[in-house]
Amino acid sequence: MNRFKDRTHKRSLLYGLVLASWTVFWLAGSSPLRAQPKDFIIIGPGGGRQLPLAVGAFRDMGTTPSDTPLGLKITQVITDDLRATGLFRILDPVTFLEDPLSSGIVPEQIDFRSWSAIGAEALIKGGFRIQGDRLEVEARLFEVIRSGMTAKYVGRPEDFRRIAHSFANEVIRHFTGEPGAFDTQIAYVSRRRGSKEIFLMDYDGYAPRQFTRNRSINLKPAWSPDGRKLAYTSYREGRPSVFVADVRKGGIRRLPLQADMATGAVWSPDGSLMAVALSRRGNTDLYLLNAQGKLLRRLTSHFAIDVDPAWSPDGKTLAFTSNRSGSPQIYLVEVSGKNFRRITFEGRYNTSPVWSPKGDLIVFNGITKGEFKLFSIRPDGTRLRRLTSLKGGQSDPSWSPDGRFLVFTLERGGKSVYLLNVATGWLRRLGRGESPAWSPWMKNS
Amino acid sequence: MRMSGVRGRIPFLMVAGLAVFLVGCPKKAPIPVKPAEPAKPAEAPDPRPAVPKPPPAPIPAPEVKVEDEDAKKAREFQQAMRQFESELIHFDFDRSEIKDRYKPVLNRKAFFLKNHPNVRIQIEGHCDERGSVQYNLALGDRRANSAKAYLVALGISADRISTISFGEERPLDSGRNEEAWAKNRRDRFVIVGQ
Repeated sequence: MNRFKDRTHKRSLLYGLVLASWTVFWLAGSSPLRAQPKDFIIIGPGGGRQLPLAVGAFRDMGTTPSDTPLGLKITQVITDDLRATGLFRILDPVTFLEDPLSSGIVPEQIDFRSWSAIGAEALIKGGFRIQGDRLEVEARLFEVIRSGMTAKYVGRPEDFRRIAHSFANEVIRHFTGEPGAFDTQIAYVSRRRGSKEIFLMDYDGYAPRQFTRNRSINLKPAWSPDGRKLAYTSYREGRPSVFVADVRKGGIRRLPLQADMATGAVWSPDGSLMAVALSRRGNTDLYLLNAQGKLLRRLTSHFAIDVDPAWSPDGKTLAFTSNRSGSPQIYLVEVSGKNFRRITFEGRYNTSPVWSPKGDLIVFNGITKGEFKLFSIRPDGTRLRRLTSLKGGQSDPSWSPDGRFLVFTLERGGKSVYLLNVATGWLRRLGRGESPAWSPWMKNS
Repeated sequence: MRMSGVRGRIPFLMVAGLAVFLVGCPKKAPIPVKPAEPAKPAEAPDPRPAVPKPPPAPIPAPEVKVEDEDAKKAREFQQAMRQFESELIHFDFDRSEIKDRYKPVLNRKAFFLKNHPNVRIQIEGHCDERGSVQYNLALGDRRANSAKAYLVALGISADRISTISFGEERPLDSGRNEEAWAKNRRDRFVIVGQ
């Protein structure tokens, strides 16, 4: 899929609109002459209010511009992505005033007054063309205050979701300075009769596909930082061992480790190390491996159970679960093996730590009133907070690479994978499954 | 000769009637329904329940006697193996120590293993579903090794015992209550070779 962008300044065409809004702002007492295009407006939770955004239906620009199911689907994907971030107040299409038959996607064909009249401060419009096996999409973002942007995509018709996610990523980058993560993937575990296999799906739950097919028990998928490999724990050769598989090419190899059991391997953020739990003679400890899976050194050396290794984003510290104090709690240790410290002191049972991509929070699950719930805590052990008031057991959290979302397992009868916006509490069920692992940023193919 | 109408059927009817007469008329003692029961001729019915006839006495011969004992031993061994495998031991939440009430179970297993020195076993450690997947794999591993250590301390050679953990992956009871969880926190003993 090729992609090329065209950042176009449309100041002259929006001049009338800007002037109008300038007057409004002047009357309201605030200055419309805001930040230069390079400064980004902080919108949304924690930084201000939500930006009112209208997403017009993407239209088939063939010989007769028309509304088609594909256009509505593209619009829906973009709308769902942007809504999930909590940064926008998505305006209801029912309120749109513009005449769909006479309007288009270039400024000359858009009546901006009809959009600002309903309160829109940003507007997305787009069109597409299908010629045989070729889908072209042109998407535009118009803004009241600053210049918008245009993006054009080419792909196959069945890739429309990928294209829509890419544009949504760019919309987020436009407003916040950092791209969205809507084209990333989630690996997870799904039960089959008597076995558990690893599956992959889009971040929004679409396109589930089976990844392992060995009819045994497969657990704890973990992504390499370049998104090319998946490590997982499997009984496929008898006792639990760690396997590393190439996501695209499908090759698999077992990490040959001298242990009764090897579980839960995770790569360091720069990909140079792996941490893994090895069980020898009834004792489970954490060990460090090099990138090829060769044993480097022992990290914990305690008769307690030490499991669930999780790397800090700078690769210098690991969080893990240990019951060395008598019950499972969250601990930190430097990668050098020094400075063990416990950070959870409330609750009898805390496991499964995961570090936020920005390094400011550790999320874990802890038993409260007999059930697992999700909590966050600062790495210094302060600011313990419960993340949701959801009913049902919540476990196995995993962060999106942009730090905006968590996925986790929710148990209510069966087990499902849920998506949570950490700042707003917004939730979405992705489908049946458990033990999700969010991929890193996907490089363009 | 054409047989038609009632007239043509008279010879048939006569034969049929004779057959009925022969079969239906005799007033003997009722034919016994159950072949196993001995025939009871016309004497007063025995108030006691019918006693089956004893089987014919076996022909005494030394070879037949030895075969019986071997078969008996084999049967006993099968029975002991079944008991060995069917008896589980259970654990408290988040613990791997052998509880006092299960020590007799392990003692019995040690006894069996001592009497059958060729038997090799695998101990499976299991957990209830609470806790992280990886933590439960480690805890199951501990539980299996805990039972192994106990048997080894009783004199069973360690290389006869292998261990494996299934963590929370193979529950006996998928219920989400204390009762089900208690059932799932267990070690299971499987004979893997003789």
